[in-house]
Amino acid sequence: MAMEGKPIESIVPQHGGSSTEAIESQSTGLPVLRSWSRVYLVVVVVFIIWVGLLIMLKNIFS
Amino acid sequence: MTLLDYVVLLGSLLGIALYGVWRTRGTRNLNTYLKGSGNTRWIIIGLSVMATQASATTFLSTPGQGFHDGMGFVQNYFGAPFALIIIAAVFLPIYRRLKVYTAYEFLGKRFDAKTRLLGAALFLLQRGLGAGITIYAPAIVLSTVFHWRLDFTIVCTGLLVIIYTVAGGTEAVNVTQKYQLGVIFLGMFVAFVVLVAKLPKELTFFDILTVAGRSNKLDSVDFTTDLHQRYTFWSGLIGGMFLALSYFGTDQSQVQRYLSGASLRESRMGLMFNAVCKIPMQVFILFLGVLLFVFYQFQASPVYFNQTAWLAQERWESSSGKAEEMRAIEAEFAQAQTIQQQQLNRWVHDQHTGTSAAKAEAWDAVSAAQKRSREIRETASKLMSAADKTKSNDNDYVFITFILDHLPHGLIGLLVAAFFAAAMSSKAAELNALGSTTTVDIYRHIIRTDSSDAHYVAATKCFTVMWGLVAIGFALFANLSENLIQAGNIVGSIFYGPVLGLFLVAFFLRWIGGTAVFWATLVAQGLVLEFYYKLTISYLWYNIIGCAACVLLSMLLQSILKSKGQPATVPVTRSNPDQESPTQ
Repeated sequence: MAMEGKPIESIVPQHGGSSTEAIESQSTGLPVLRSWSRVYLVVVVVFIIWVGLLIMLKNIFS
Repeated sequence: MTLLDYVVLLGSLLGIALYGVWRTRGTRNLNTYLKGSGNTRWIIIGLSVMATQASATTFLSTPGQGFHDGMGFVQNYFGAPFALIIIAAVFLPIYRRLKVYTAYEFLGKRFDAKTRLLGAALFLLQRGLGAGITIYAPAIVLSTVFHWRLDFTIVCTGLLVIIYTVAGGTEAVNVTQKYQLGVIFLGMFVAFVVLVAKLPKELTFFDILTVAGRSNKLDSVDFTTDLHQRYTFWSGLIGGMFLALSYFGTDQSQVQRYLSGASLRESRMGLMFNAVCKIPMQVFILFLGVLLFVFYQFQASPVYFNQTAWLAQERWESSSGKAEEMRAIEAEFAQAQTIQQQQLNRWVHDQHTGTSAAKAEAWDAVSAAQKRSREIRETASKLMSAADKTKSNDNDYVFITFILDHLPHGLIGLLVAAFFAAAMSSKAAELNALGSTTTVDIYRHIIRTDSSDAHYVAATKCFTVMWGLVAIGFALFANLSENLIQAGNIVGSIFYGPVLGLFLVAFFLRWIGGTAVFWATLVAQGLVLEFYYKLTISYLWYNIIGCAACVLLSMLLQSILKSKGQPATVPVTRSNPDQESPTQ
């Protein structure tokens, strides 16, 4: 087996590196949620709503 | 099942499989065969990721879990949205930028050949076992209920999947999964509508939820910190996140799905679709189980849902006193159910017309009757688990019993088609990934490094057939002791932790090299296996233990190696085939 491996920086971008920023800043193409961080925030909010609904369901009917 | 059911069942399954073969005929290019046509939209990726994860056991077993234990199982998926965000933000851009075919190719570029091989080998081992479970799970339940031959069911399902997966590769998997998921959701929706329609007319939706809630079936969020409790908010959020991170981020059967996206945006959107839809989907399936529970509070149900096994056991014990005992249990259960139904009808009446005191008193009587029914059912389960050779879990037979007893013909065929479609969709993705990994990470990497695309496509087809036959073989000789869906998750949790640790080191700890992480992964895997046999904690925690052990040991070993003067990485060599563009 041949040994292999690139310098790590060329494989995994540094924190805050230009490559990561470029990817993050790509438009989502959605009308309101234009940045990916907003999409991720919506996912977290939807999760919280679901947990809240499940807790409410339990409390109301138990 | 009648002729109409068989027409619906075979028509939908064969139709989808043949369409997949026809749509993807003549694929010769390795990139197209492994990554699809390259123009896959986010909705197809999203559905494909969903169909890969949701196997037949998701739809066959989960309603049974809802019936017996309520909705607590949904907590298992609480970590999934967070894991999918991390994958979309960190893992996916790097996979796409490096244009890798498999996740393990990334390990080769980041570390070295032996670490890449280790990642691929752990995947092949874990997924090879999982593929057996995927095909065995629906086959054992459906063959028992319909009196089909188990080996015939396993071989037929397995061969059908092998044919279209081999014919069209990733594109065939994506194309067929879309329609298979359509059949699944149509079937589940129809079952839901029929179930609601068959509940007593005088029962309002509020009453249904009250019966479920007071019977503890709506207890879906448990904040206790007991490590031995299988499903809690914390084990689901933390352990579940590690499990999902490992499954969606490092398991090639999933990575291959989203790598087929037309762009980074399409792949990300496909993952976010799952991050939003996963929990509601599980809530819906578990709620179906809760509705089944309410339905069987008002309707007669068997004391043991796997009636084939129960009656066979009764015949087997006909010469001994145990058969008498079994018949006595049945009679006692029927009597307890009659009392329970009478008490429930009284409660429904009081609920609409009675005073608060009358309602409370009526519910106390219902509660006592339910307790008696539950005790008898537990006695029956204990008796059967001591005798049943397959050690099947009765939860797996609840939903199929309802389908057979209460759905009209034609719809029975549709629901059975839905179970098989679910099995085939996840099995196809697994075989596709197993064949791809064997070719890209082992065959092309070590054995034949400089052949044509056509040769590698042919090799991938051969390896896909090989893994399909291995899975069929494993399924034929499998003997599962857990609820089917849990068996799959437990196998996953044993292997996923160390593999996730390996990938987290690769992504986030840049100063650690291949040798340190290689040995750390092996030791962490050994530790998890040792703990699995010695501890009784929830299996979800093994994901964290394996991952933490791998990361910490990697740091320790790298520190030791550094002090001995060994570098974290080695220089790039031009002769190394892995440095060429994988798309060529």
